[in-house]
Amino acid sequence: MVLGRILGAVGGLVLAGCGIMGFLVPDLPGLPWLMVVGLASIGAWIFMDWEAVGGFFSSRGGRSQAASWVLMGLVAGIAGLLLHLAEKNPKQWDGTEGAVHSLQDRTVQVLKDLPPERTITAVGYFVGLGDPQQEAARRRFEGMMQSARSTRPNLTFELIDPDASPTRAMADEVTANGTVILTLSGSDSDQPSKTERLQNPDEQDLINALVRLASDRTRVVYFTTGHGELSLDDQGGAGLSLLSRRLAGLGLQVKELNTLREPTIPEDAAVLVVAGPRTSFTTAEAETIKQWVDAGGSLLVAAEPPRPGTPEGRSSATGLEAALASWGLAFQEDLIFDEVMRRAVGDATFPLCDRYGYHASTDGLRLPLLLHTARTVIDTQPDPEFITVFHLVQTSEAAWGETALDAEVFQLDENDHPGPVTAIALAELHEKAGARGGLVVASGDADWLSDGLLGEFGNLDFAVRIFGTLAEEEDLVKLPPRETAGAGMTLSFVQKLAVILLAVLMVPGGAGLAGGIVWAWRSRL
Amino acid sequence: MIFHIARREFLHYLRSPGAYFVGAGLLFIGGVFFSLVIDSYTRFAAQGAMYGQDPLSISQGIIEPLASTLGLLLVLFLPTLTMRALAEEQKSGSMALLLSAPISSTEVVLGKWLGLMSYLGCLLGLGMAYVPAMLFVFGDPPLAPLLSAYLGVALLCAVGAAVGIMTSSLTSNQVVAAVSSWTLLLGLWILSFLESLDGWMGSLGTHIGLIVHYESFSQGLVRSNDLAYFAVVTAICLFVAQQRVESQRWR
Repeated sequence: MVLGRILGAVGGLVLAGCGIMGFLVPDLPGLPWLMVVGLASIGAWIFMDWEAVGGFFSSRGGRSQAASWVLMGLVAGIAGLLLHLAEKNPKQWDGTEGAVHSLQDRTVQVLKDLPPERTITAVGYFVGLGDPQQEAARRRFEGMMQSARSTRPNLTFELIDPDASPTRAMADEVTANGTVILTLSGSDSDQPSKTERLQNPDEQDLINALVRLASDRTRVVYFTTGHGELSLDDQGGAGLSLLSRRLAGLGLQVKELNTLREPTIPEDAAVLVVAGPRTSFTTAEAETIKQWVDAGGSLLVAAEPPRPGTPEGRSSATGLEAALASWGLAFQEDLIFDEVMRRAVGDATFPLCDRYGYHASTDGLRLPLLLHTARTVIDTQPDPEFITVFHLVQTSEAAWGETALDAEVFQLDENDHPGPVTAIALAELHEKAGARGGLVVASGDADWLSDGLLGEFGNLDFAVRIFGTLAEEEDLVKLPPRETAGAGMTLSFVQKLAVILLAVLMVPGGAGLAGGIVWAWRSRL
Repeated sequence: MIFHIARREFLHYLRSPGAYFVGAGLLFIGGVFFSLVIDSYTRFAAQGAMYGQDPLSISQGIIEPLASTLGLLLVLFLPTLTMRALAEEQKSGSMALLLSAPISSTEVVLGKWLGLMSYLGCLLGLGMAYVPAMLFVFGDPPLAPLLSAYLGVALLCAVGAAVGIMTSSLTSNQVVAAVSSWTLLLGLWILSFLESLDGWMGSLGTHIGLIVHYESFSQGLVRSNDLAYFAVVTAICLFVAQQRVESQRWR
């Protein structure tokens, strides 16, 4: 008897829970089985306690009560359905100055212009409670996604706490908080989905990522060959296969280009990468590359330093020195040693660079960049009217650029370049007659792009950012700034004191006094 | 008949010293928080002016934090006002008299709820009238976020009153009614903290959490799903209370 009632209660609770979860997480695994368990428990109760159940339903009160429960169940179901529909198709009215919680008109237009059959999925990796900055970033992302969903119902988004779901974060290769993975499905089965990774994105970042994903224009990243560069096909630690896969995920095609055979840079080239050449480029090749960059191309030159003790003697000259100098950049003939890393891992040729310069491509990056056998990059002070140089990545103060590579003991002396030294710099060539200016990134190391190091520390995030910057398209959206600042309010000390006295003493005191009067009046009755 | 019961309930609160003392407590703590908000706002504004920054907006600097705090205060204070709504009628036996009158249980519940809402409207409308008055006298606040915050407070009062009436209908013990009401309201409030978690727990927090739905109003944002949430929760609680009152006719 008692067991039957317990089973009945458990069954009722299980069914109610299933009803709620059915609305919240319809695809929760095991939900149908839980419902079966709930129904079976109620069935067992009716069977075991038939006399009491039958007696209850035979009375008028029992029937009314049962009808009441059924009615309440129905109302709960309808209420759940209403909530579900309201959550699915939310509409909002933003009363703030500058409508800060709403998407701008241009963003809404971009969302509307996307073909309706293409679905957008956004997964945001933000830490949970405890980090106010991340909490604010998470809320901003969530607000943007909710607003976007009201414009485009086939947009779905998910918030993941990387601390709570480390396996999922690892599967998505997330190494930094605030990473957002944006995916746009293809129009049909032949067209693959495209994905882009963003870091703490604002509205402009998100909408531009969508513009890039939706663009049918093929953007190709060409890796030069023929000079002993790191290979795209090499599956070992020194190859670029991991980077190649990651770039494909960004919607970029990856191809090789032998500049000795091809006299011009292909028209579809978005970025040209020179990754660790062992032999120099010819003057003709260098001139071709220079002309292409001057016409608005984007170049990444990752050059290894002269290496002591290697019999084959990797050349430190790339043949691109003159071109780089014209863009305000130069490689130093040195090798960066990091004293901290010597103490930590016993090898000072692995500089850990934790200083990111101010630039859109490094904004929000927190994990340091791990290099291996790197050289210093310097800014040759170009005319700021035509070129701006950004020191993107710098070593710590404990590192230095060693110039005496034949010495037996390496230590900082007056001929060396004291830390912090720049390992990666970017030169922005200003627009010329309305044409886009070129971009050049000079990296004093190529190994950080290789399979062996790309997954370490913040290397992958930085690589994604730098290629995103270099491959940026011209037709991206530039949102106007919002007019967020409303009128302020100033109070003198006396005014503030009067307001505080009114709020803390007079109003509550008045209410208390009224209570006292009522109490006294009632006591007299 | 609903309005007759509502008027009777409203007058009952006006004649009850306890309602005044609870109101005074709510206004005192609300006033302390308001003073803190004003103090920090004026200090930030002075610092911003010193560094040539844009002035901190009134909606972000005053309305939003004040509305958030007032929400929590209402969750804490409302059960003390709602606990007697039906529990007292059941304990004193006046419920039987009420039900023997030609009044439907729906009218009883809605009348009680409207009476309580009227009292809360008077308490907050008059007791906190100094907030908009001060903002308009010393500044130029945006009207829309202010109205949105007021709407949020009104909807929270509606849910709090409905939850209180529901728990009050389930027991004749006022303390049990108050504790149950606190548990439910604080439970809904705390559920919002699950929002940042993954999976079904995060989904539960997003859909059911009270803060998640209340916060947007204090930020000057009115969303249809938030309006639906408050309407549905209020309706469910009032419906359960009505069914409970109705069941007393059978006995």
